[in-house]
Amino acid sequence: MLVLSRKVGESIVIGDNIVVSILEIRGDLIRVGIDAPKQVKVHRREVFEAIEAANREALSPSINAISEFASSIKGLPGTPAQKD
Amino acid sequence: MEDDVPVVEMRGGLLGFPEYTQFTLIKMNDEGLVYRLQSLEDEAINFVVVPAASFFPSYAPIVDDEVAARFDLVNGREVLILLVVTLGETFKDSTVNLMAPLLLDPNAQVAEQIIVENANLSVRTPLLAA
Repeated sequence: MLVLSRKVGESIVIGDNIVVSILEIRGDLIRVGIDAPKQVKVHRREVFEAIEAANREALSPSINAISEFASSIKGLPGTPAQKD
Repeated sequence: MEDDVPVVEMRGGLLGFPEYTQFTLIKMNDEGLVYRLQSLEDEAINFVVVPAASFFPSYAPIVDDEVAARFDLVNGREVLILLVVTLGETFKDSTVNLMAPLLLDPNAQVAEQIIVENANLSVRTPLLAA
């Protein structure tokens, strides 16, 4: 891993068009600004990992499980009834 | 042959699955409360999704400006919000991901899994909490 030391107000350039700036340091909290092209998605790592894990867990249940689920929803009180 | 299935383009894929971007939505119950999001690129890849409005009527995801721009929300374009379901052993154990819903533009057939800005939403919210 490349390790760089930066002061508040200084930045790091990644590639041609991503700039990471150190905006503020307060105690153990560091505010970081990120300028990146729209197609580059920027997420907090723990959030990204939690969603990835949830997606992996949700992936490809068996057809039986899906059908069972779909029919339990049909019979569940409180689910919106079809209105015409 | 599934020549005529409506293709939904999932921009960027689901998080963790960027390689799958072509899906179709298959209705799994008559009321339209459950759909299977089936990959057209790999038969083995699918997810169960439910319309957020049917289960969490007060769910109001906050999206960032760029998502709003991509879906033209500022001009009042309507999108469907779908929630990815993790099926549990029983229905009661099933959860939905309120932190990363799918936005679907039904006209353009384009969708995206976004991360909402709301605080305190769980990636595993019991469906029965609805």
